[in-house]
Amino acid sequence: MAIVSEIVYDKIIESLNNFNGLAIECESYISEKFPNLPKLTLRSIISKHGQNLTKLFYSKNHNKAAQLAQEFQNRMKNERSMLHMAMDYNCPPVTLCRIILNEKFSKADVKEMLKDPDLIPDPLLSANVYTCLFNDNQDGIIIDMIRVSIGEEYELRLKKLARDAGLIFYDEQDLRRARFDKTPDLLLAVQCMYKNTLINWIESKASFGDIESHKKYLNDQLISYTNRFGPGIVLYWFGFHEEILNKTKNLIILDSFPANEEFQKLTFQ
Amino acid sequence: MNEIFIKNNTSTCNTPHKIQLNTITTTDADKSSVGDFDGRSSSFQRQHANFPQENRSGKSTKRQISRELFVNQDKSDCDNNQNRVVANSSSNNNNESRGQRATSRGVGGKSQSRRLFNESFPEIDNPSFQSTSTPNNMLTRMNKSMGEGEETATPNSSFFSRNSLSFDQSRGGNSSRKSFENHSMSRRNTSSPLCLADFINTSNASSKGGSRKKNNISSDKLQQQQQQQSKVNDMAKPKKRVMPITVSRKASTETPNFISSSFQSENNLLHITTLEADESMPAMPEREILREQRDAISKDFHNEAQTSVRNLHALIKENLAASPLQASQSGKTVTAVEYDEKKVDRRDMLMIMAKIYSFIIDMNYVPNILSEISYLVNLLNSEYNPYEHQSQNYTQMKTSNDIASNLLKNYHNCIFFASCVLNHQKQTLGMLDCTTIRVICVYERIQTITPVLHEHLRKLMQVKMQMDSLMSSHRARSDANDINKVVFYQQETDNRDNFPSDREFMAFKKQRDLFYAILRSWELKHLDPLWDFRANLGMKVRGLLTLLEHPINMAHLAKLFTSQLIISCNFDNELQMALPNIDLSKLSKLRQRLVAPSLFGTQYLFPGNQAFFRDFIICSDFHMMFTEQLKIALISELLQMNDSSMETLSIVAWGNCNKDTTTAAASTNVVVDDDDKEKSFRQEFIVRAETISTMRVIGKFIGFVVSRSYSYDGYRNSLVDQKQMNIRNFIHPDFDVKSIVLRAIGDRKLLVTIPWLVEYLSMLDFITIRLNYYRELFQILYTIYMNVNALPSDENKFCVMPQSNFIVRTCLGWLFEHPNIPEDYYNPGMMLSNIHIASSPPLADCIKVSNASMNNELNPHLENILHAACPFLADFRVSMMPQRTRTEKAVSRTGRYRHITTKIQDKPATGGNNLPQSNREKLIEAFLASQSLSVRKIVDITIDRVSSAVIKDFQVQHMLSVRKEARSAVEIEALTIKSLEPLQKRMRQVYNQYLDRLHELWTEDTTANCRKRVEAAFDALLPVETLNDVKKTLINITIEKINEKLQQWRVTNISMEIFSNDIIADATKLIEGIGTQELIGSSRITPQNVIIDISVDLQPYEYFEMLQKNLHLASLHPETLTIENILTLIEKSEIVFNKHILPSNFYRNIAFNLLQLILLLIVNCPELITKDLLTKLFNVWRHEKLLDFTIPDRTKCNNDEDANDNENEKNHRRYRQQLNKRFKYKTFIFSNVISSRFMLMMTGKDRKNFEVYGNFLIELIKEKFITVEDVNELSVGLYKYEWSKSTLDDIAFLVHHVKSFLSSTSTSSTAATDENAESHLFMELVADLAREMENF
Repeated sequence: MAIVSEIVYDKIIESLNNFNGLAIECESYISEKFPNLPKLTLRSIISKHGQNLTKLFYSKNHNKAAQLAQEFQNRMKNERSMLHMAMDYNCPPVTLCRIILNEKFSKADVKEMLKDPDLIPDPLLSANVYTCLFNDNQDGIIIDMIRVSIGEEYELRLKKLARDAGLIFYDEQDLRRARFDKTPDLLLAVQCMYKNTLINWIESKASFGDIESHKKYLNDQLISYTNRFGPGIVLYWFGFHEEILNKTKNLIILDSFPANEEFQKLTFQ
Repeated sequence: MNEIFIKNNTSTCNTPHKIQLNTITTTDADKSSVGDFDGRSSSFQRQHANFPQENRSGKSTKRQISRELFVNQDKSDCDNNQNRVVANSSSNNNNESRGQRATSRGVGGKSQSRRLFNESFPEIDNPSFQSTSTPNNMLTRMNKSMGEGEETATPNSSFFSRNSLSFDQSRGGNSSRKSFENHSMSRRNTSSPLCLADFINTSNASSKGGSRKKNNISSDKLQQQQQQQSKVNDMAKPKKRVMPITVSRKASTETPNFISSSFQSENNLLHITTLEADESMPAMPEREILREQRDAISKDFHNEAQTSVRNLHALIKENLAASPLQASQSGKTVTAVEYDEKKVDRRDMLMIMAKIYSFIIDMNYVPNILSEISYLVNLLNSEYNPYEHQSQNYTQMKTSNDIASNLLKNYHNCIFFASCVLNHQKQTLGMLDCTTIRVICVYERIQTITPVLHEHLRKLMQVKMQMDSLMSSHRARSDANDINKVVFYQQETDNRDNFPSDREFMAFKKQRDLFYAILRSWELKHLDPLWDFRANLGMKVRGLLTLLEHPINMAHLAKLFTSQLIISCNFDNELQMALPNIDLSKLSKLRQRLVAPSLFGTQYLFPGNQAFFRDFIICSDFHMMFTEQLKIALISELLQMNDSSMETLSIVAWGNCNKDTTTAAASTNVVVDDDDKEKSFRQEFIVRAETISTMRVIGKFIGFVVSRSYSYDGYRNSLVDQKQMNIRNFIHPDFDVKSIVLRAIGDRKLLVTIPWLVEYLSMLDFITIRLNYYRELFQILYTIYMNVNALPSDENKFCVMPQSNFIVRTCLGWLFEHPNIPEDYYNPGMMLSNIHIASSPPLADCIKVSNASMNNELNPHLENILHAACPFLADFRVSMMPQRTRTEKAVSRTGRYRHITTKIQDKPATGGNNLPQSNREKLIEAFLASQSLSVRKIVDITIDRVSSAVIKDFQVQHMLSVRKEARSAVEIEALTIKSLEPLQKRMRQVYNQYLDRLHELWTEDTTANCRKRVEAAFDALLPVETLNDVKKTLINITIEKINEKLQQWRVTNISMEIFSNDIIADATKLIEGIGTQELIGSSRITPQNVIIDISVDLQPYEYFEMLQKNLHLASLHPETLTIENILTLIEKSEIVFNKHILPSNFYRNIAFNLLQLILLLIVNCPELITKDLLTKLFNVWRHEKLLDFTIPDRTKCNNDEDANDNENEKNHRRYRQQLNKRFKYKTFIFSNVISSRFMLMMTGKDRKNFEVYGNFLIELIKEKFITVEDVNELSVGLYKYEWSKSTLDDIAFLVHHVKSFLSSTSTSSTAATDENAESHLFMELVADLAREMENF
C-alpha cells in the first residue's frame, strides 16, 4: 500500500500530537494534510498512535486509578462528564472508562459492562460509559469487531492471492489442528522463491507496520517462525515505516502481495 | 614393534627379517638428533593440531583465525628444515606433562603450527607451549630407552636418525620392543613421517654403535645439508602473495602487526566492504587499492617475518650450540643438487630394499602409511645433498653390510630408492584423492625420474577430477540453500502431544526461540576477537536451560541442538551468513586464497560453526540433565545414521563384478540387485559422503561430551590416574562402540563406521581411553588394520574394494598416530585371533601384486567418501607439498563436505537369532531371504510407511469425528444427570458405545485402506518383470506384517482415553457447568463462524466503522446527521448479514448498537425517527441471524413444544432454555430498553422526545419484540432512582402514552385476555404513582 519514509511518518505523528480533540474526529483532519497517503494507511497509523496513547496513559496512571475515579466522581454531572475528562487527559475515552470501572467492579464484570453498559447499576455512570463508547474509535466493542473482521478479511485476501499465485500452503487452522506451537498465517507446503530468497511462510498484518509494533511482532512471532521454518514474508497491508526494512534480517517485508511472476516456483515438465 | 610384526606375520616370507631387516639398525638417539627429526615437518598428521587447545577452552576463536592466516603465510616461508630446527629446540625441554595432551587433542601433537605460532607470537612464552606439548618428553623417554645415551650422534648425523625402529637382533627382544615403542611414541608425538628412516641407520657419530651392528648408513652429509638449508631459508625473505580484502588501509597505517589486523572486527570482511562503500570509492578497483597499499602491506609482512626469523635464529643457535659441526657448517653456502641417475650405486640392492620397504607398507606393518608416503615424496624431492662433504668411497668398504649400511648416504641413491618405493606404491598412491595426486604430480622429479608413475597418476587424476567436478557442482547447489538454515519444526515430534503438559510445551517454545537467539548473536559476534562466548552468552545459555529444566524439555532441546549441529556443522556457510547476496563460487575461491591450507586441514578441532556448539556445551557443563540428554540425542542420531539401511548403498567389488552397480551421479539410493548369491559376499555397504561427514562431526561431539566430565587441564598424578582407571573399569561405557565395530565387520559396513569411530576415539580423555574396554576395542581396530592391507582381497577381507581398504587404512592410521592414543596400544599381541586375519602371501607375490596393473574402475562414491572420511589428507598434502609450490602457487586444498541427513531408522541386518516359530514363518522368512536386497527394502519401507499412513487416515477420517460426537453426547447427558456417580457411569456407557463404533469402523476401513495402499506401492516400485505371484506373495506378506503393527497400535491407542483422560474430572466439570461454555460458542471466534466474502463491495469492517461513526455523530454532533445516513446504514446491514458469516456475538452487537443509535436519535434528533426508518429497522432486527437476540426464545419455545421429539432433543432444548435464562442479559438486546440511564439522558428534553420514545416502545410491542410485561417490569425499575419533579412528570407522561395505546388496542382487539387486562391495570398504577410522587 505505502512505504512511509521516516520524515513523513514523523510529520504525521507530529500532527497527531498537535491535534486537540477526539481521535475519532482527527481522521479527516489528517487525511487533508496528507492527501497522498491511502486512507487505510492513515487510519492504521492513527489507530496505532491511539494505542500508544493508551499505553502511555496506562503506564502513567496505572497506580492513580483511585485518584482518577475520585476526580470523575467529583466531575460527574451529566452523561458527557467522562468524555470531557478523557479529552482533558488526552486519553481514549474507553480507556478511562475501564480504569474507573475497574476501581469499582471486578475485571470480568467490567468486560461485560463495556459490552452492555446498562449492566452498570449507577444510571449516570452507565450513561457516561455509553457516551464514551459512542465516541471512541480506539477501543470498544465495535472497534473489537472491526479489528477481528479486518484481520479475518485480509487473511482471506492473502489466502486468495496466494491461491491465485499457485502457492500451496497450510493455513493457520491446519497448523493449529496439527498442534504446531507457532502458526504463521500461511506455511507453504511447497516452498517458493521470491527475489532469490527461499520463502517458507507468509504472515499478513492488516495494520501499519511502525517500528514499535514491528519489533513486537518480531519478538512474538516472526523470529519464532524463522527459527522453525526458515525465511518468509511479512505483509503489511496498510504499509509500513521505511526504517523497519533496515532492522530486519532473513525476512522479506512487503506492503502488497507480490505479482505472480515475482514468485519462482518449483515446476516439473 | 615392527620387528615383532615381521616375526609374527611374515613367517611365510623368505625370512626377510633375517637378511634385510637386520641390516637396518638403530644407533644414535641423541636428544638433539632425534629432536631434529622430530621436527621434520614433512610429517603431516598432526602438524596443525595445536590450536584446538584454545578451541577447546572455548576462547579466542577469532584470534585463531588471524593466527591461522598468519601461520599459512609463515608456513610458506619456513621450509621443513626450519621447522625441524625449531622443534629441536623445544625438544630440549624435558617437561613431564605428557598427561596434558589428554585434555586436548591438539596438544602434544606434531606441532608445526604451534611452532610457527610461537615464532610468530614472540609474546607467547615458548616454555609455556612446551609444557603442553609432548614431543620433547617422548623423545627424552625414547632416548633413555634407546640405550641410555650409548650413542652420541650429533644433530647433523641424523637425517635418517630417528630410526628407533630396531631390527637389530643383537639388542634382544626386550630392547628392540622397547625401542619400537619409543619409535612409535616418537612417531606419534613428533611430526616426522620419516618412517623409512626406521629401517636405515645413519650417523658417523654412531660408529661405535654402528660397529656393533652389521650395517650402518651414514647420513651426516644429508643432515648438514639440511641444516644449512634451514639457515638459508631462515634468512630468505619470504615471498608473499598479495592477499586482498584482509588487509585494510587501517591495518597498513595503524597496526604494525599483521596478525592483529587480519581478522579483527574492524578489518573483517564485513566491515571492510561497508567501510569502502561508505567512503565512496566504488570506482577504484580493489586491486588498485592493493597496489597503492603495497608498500605498507609488504612492510607489514616484512615486520612479521623479521620477528619470526629473529626468533628462529635464537632457537637455532640455542639448538646447535652443542653441535660439533656447527662451526664447520657456518659460512657455507648450499647449492641445490641435481639428481643424476648415473651416480646411483648398487641399484640392485636399492631395488631390493625398496621392495621390502614397499612390502612393509603394503602389509600395514607401519602405523600410518601416509606418513611413509609423505616421507618418500619428501625424500624424492630433496634438493640439497647432505652428504656433499662426505666421501663416498665404496671401495674402502669391506663387507657387503658396510656397503648396505652406507648405501643411503649417497644423495642420488636416496632419490633412486624413494622413486623405486613410490613406483611400487603406485596403486596406493592411486587411491589418494585427486587434489593430493595433483600435488604429487607437481613434482618435477616424479615426472622425470618416475615417468611411468607420473603418467599413471596423471591419468587417474583426470578421471578423478571429472568425478570431482560432478560432485562439486552438486555441492555448490546444495550450499546455496544453506544460509540461515534452521531446524524445521517437525509436527510429529514437536507438537503439544510430545510434552507432558502445556507448561512444558509453552516453556519449550520459549527455549527454542532462546536457543536461536543465542545462535544468532553468536553468528553476529564471534568474529570479534575480543568477544567471549562464555562471558557474553554463558548467562543466556544457563537461563535457557533453567527456564524449565524438565527432562522432557531437555530431551527436546538436545534433539534441537543435535539437528542444528547437523545442519550447520559445515563451516563453509560461516561467511555466507555474514555476507548475503554473495557469489558462492567466488567466495569459495577467495576463501581458499585467504586461508588455504590450514582451514582445510585438521588444525581446527571445532571449525566454523562447530565452535558455537562446543561453547554451548561448555556453558551447560553444570546442567547434567541437558548434557545427559544431549549425549543420548547425539548417540541415537549417530546410530540411526550408522544403522540405517535406507541410506546405504551397496557396492559390489572386484573379480567378476567389478562394476559399481550404483549410478555414478545418483545421490539417491540405488539398490543393487544381487541375483547371484555369490556376489553378496563381495558386497560392502557405504553411505553418502555427506552422511559420513555428519557422522564424523557427531562422533567428535559425542567424544567431547562423554569426556567432558573427566577431562581437566593441568598436572596429572599417575597415582590418581591409576585409581581413576581402576574405579572406572567397573563401569561399562554408555556408548558401546565395540559392539558397533564388530557388527560393522559382520555387516560389511566398516566404511560407514570407521570414519566416525576414529573421530570419537580421538576425543576421549586421558583416563577413558585407557580403560580396559577401549584397550579391547583397540585390539579389534588393530586386527581390522592388519586385515585391510593393500594385498588383493580374499573372501575373508573386511573390505573388498581396494579403495575402501585404503580409506579404512588411512583412517585407522590417523588414529594410531593420534597423540591422545596411549602408546602401548601398539601391541602386536593385541591382535585378536578370533577375527580372521588374512595370511600373508610370500613376498614375491606381494610385489607382483603391487606391480599388477591397477584396476581402473574407480568408484565415485568411494572417491567422495575418501574426501569426507579423510579430511586429514589436507595435512598430508601440505606435508609433502614441494617447497616451491608452497610459496609460489596457491594450491587449493579443499576437502570439506556438506552434511545433509534424513534418515529412517532400520533394524540392523544381523543379529536375528530368533528361531522361526512355525513352518509358515519359516517359509515367509525363506521367501523374503530369497528376494534381493532391494525388494526387501521395498517391503520394509512399505510396512513402515503404509502402517503409518493407514493410522493417520483413520485418525483424521474417523477418530476425530467420533470423539467429538461422543463428547457432545456426554454433555447432553450431563444436563439430565445431576449427580456425579450416575453421570460417570453413564459417561462410561456412552464412551463405550462410541468405542465400539470406532472398532467397527477400524475393521471396516483399515483393512481395505491397507490393501489398497500396499498394492499401489508394489505396483509402483517393482519392475514389470517381477512374477505376478511373487508380487502377490510379497503384497500378502507385507499386509500381514502391517496388520501386526496396526493391531499393536489399535490395542494401545483405541481406548477410553481417546474420549477422556480422566472421567471423574470431566464429570465434575460437566456438573459444575464448566465444560458447557463450549456449546454456547457465541463469544468465541472459530473458523467455522467467520466467513467473509472478500468479493463483496461492503466489507464488515466498513459497516462497523459506519455504525461507529453514526453513533459518534448522533451522540456529539446530531446536527450533522441526515436521515439518509441512517437509512444507508440500516440498508447496508442487510448486505452484511446476507453476504458474510460473522461470529454470533457480532450479530448481537450490531442489533444492540442499532438500538442504541435509535435511542440516541430519540434523545438528540427525534425528528429523524420516521415510520419508514422504523419499518426498515424492524426488518433488520427480524433478520434470521438476529432473531436470537431480538425475538426472545419464549416465542420459539412455544412452537417447539408441540414438536414430538425424542428424549435427546427435549433434553437439548431444556438445556438451551437454561442457558438463555442465564445469559439473557447478554443476548436479548431489549432487556434494558427502558432504563434509568436512558431517562437521565432524556432529562431536560421536550415532551416530543418522550412522545417519540413512547411511540417507539409501542411499535416494539406491536412488532412483538417486547411484551407489555417487559414494559411493566422495566418501568418499575425506574423508581429505584430519585428523579426530579419534571422527569417524574415525563415518566408519567410516557407510561400513560403507552398505556393509552394498549387500552385502545385491547378494546379493538377481541382477543384481549385477562392477562392483558391485568397488565393495563398495573400500568395505570405505575402512571398514577408517578403523578402522585409528582404531587408529593
